[in-house]
Amino acid sequence: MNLHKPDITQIVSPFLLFFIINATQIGEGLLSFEREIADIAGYDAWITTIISGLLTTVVIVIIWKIITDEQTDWITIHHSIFGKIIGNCLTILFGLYALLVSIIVLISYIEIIQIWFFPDMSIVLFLSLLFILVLYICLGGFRIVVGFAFFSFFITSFLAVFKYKGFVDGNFSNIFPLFNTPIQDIIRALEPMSFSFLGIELILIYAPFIKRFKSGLKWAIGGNLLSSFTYLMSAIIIFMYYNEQQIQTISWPTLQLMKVINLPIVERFEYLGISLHFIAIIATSCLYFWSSIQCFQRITPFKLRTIGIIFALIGVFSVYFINNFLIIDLVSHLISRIGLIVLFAYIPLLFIIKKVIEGVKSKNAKN
Amino acid sequence: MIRRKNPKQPQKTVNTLDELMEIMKASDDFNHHTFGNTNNIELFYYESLINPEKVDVNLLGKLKETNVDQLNILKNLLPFSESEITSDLNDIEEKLLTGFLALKLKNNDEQALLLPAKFEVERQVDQPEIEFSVLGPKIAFIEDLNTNINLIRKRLKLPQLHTKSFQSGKITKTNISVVYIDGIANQENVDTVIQRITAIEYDQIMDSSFIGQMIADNSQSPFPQLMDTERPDRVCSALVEGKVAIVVDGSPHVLIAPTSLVEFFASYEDYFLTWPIASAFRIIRICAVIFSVLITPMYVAVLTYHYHIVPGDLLGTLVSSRKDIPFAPIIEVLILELSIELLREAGARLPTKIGQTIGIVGGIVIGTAAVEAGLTSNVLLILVALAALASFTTPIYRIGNTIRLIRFPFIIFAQLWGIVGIIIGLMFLVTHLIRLTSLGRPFLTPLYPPRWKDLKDAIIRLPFHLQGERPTITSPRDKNRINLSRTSNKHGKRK
Repeated sequence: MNLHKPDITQIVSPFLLFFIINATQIGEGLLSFEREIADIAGYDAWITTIISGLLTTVVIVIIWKIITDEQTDWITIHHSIFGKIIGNCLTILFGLYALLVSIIVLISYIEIIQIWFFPDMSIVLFLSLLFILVLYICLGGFRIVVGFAFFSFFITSFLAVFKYKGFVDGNFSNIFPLFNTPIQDIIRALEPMSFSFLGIELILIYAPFIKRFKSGLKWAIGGNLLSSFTYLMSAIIIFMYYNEQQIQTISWPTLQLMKVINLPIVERFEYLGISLHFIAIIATSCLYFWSSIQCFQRITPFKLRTIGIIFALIGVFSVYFINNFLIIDLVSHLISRIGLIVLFAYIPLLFIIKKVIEGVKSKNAKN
Repeated sequence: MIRRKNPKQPQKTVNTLDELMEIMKASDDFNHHTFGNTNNIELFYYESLINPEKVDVNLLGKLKETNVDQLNILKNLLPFSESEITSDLNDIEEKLLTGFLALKLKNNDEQALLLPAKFEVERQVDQPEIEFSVLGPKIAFIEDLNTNINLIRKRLKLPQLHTKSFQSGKITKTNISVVYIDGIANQENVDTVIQRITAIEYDQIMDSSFIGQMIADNSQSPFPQLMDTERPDRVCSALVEGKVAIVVDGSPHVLIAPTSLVEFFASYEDYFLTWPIASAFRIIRICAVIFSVLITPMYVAVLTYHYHIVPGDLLGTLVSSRKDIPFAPIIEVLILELSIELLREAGARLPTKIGQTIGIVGGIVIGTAAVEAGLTSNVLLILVALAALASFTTPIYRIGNTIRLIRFPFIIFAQLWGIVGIIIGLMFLVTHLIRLTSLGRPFLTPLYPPRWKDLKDAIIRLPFHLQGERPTITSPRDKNRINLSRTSNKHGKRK
């Protein structure tokens, strides 16, 4: 088996999983998921956040069941289950998916910056600079990527505090009556919601980089629960503040809410909020970008650096294809769909296949 | 480190004592006398290196009257304590060049008697000027290696305090001592320092900062990765924490490694104050640095793009102070920032007394005149002056330079993309800091990788009884500062 032993200086402590998971999940989704889930499930949509939080926790546990060895990652598992050719094809597909996520996350945030700050900004120049930053982070190795995610966690926590405004000004009775929506609508809302929970599938790639990986389960679950809690609180606060019709007309409810905040020297807090939230976006994008180049580096003879630069160029030029709101929305929904399949179908399936193969092998060994 | 492909030896090799003397005689301050009844004793020395009192009647008189034909007898005759007879040419050359007298007999072409007569031109041990503190010891290192090590040893009377000596610099042959406490310092750090110092290839080592730049992990970074200090107490404290000190002859600054970013914002005076006060001052210092870096970029960003951010009343003040200014905010900021740098640079190059005048002329006269002439706004003048002031609060001079430099990229980012640009700049800075290492150990500890225990002496300084363990950045071999089991027992009894 093609085991992967990363450089000792790139290995990070298991408790950092808490921050990694949180940073990968919280990104652009946090700003707009309320609108999308409320569209399907109305004011009971907050129940969806709880359900998806629980489901993703189950997925995390399954991932810990799949990875039995400290040095196993997705690539090794693909090899051992599907053989070299099909396994590599699956890895490439996943690598491309991760690259697509890292690009779309950046581009859709640039859209927000265009709308809020600079309507006539040159996207190519800006995106080039961002990819230089992403490369600077990712080529430093996993430890640097995690370091960035670690700091982004504190920024998002700082920003989360400012949702208090919705709580203070909102109306609690807005979310009543409870369970007014049919249960299948709540389940259907899982699809847009899962976009905000994407990120845990990356554990399969960076597992060898975690010291004492087995002991990291509690931290990973903790990180996931914190994100679910953040989404839950955010959803409740937004539903308290806006009414059901209004929320559909607002693209980014959280940013609208930040507008209301008045600080002694900051009148329009959303300007600071958008800028600071950018750090969380870059952290998410970097983790995906790193996973993508790691996938390709493991199955091709090229160096991390070469792949990184090529992918960054792809990222910059992709702006010519993903260039308007409709396409961004389309790709986001596509990613949301793929992510849903990866999380809730592919990973459990992988687990079952692995168990079956192991069972067959041990049976053969007995015979 | 500069590596030449074909290193050329500056001197040709010498084989005999006479050849050596011939080379040295080319300098006019090299003296040569002949003594003895039969004129068979020759005395050589550099006039500029020896103490004239030693070459007095006592020595010369005795030499004139003697009639010896062996160096041994001469050695016993002369009242010098560390005299020696040697035939090693390198030794003779080195000793002559550090203030020894050489005596040689005409009939003996191989051996020479070396007598110490060093003339010490060193300034007195003085008060620290850069890292001055109101409280605490007022003594600073000077340019002499042995005095500096003496100052360290006076505080650490330990046989475990080891010094390892090296020579570096092809021409200057500067003495360097690596100082550490055996049993506390991690041997890996000591070995890294020694290995990097011995690998240095350069012709001149004039100061410890040469070494500091040559052995830094990333020499492209504007951040200093080794701390230099002129305070013996700071060095000793670092040694006790398990760090390694590098003392360089001819330099009043001692290098400490490994180090981390937060240590650059810790004044040593913090340890002389009670912990709540020290912590408060440290937080103020860190806030001052953040303010210093970000305030003028924020001014550019807000006034160029995001005037909505500013509350109405404040916007009124800003607008009225800027209404006559003919420049865009970025030009205004650059002019003012550069003139502050100009003032600082001029003040640093001039003698103290004129420097004060420059401060008054530059700061007050030019500042007021610039505002009255309508070239800059009052508000910006206040902000720039405050930012400059804040950058001087850093206890270590070197990091102050860095802080003044890194605000310029931020100003440019602010002009390009406003606050978003500043945040992008900040992300580049944070990434750079995460990537930096000092002797292979992360520069941003204890913040990242998070070492919760080390936070007790990072942004705040907790009281001494809570500082039971040495910081983990050095991976000290002996972790405990105090006997932790005993302390916990004591606290247990009090309950």
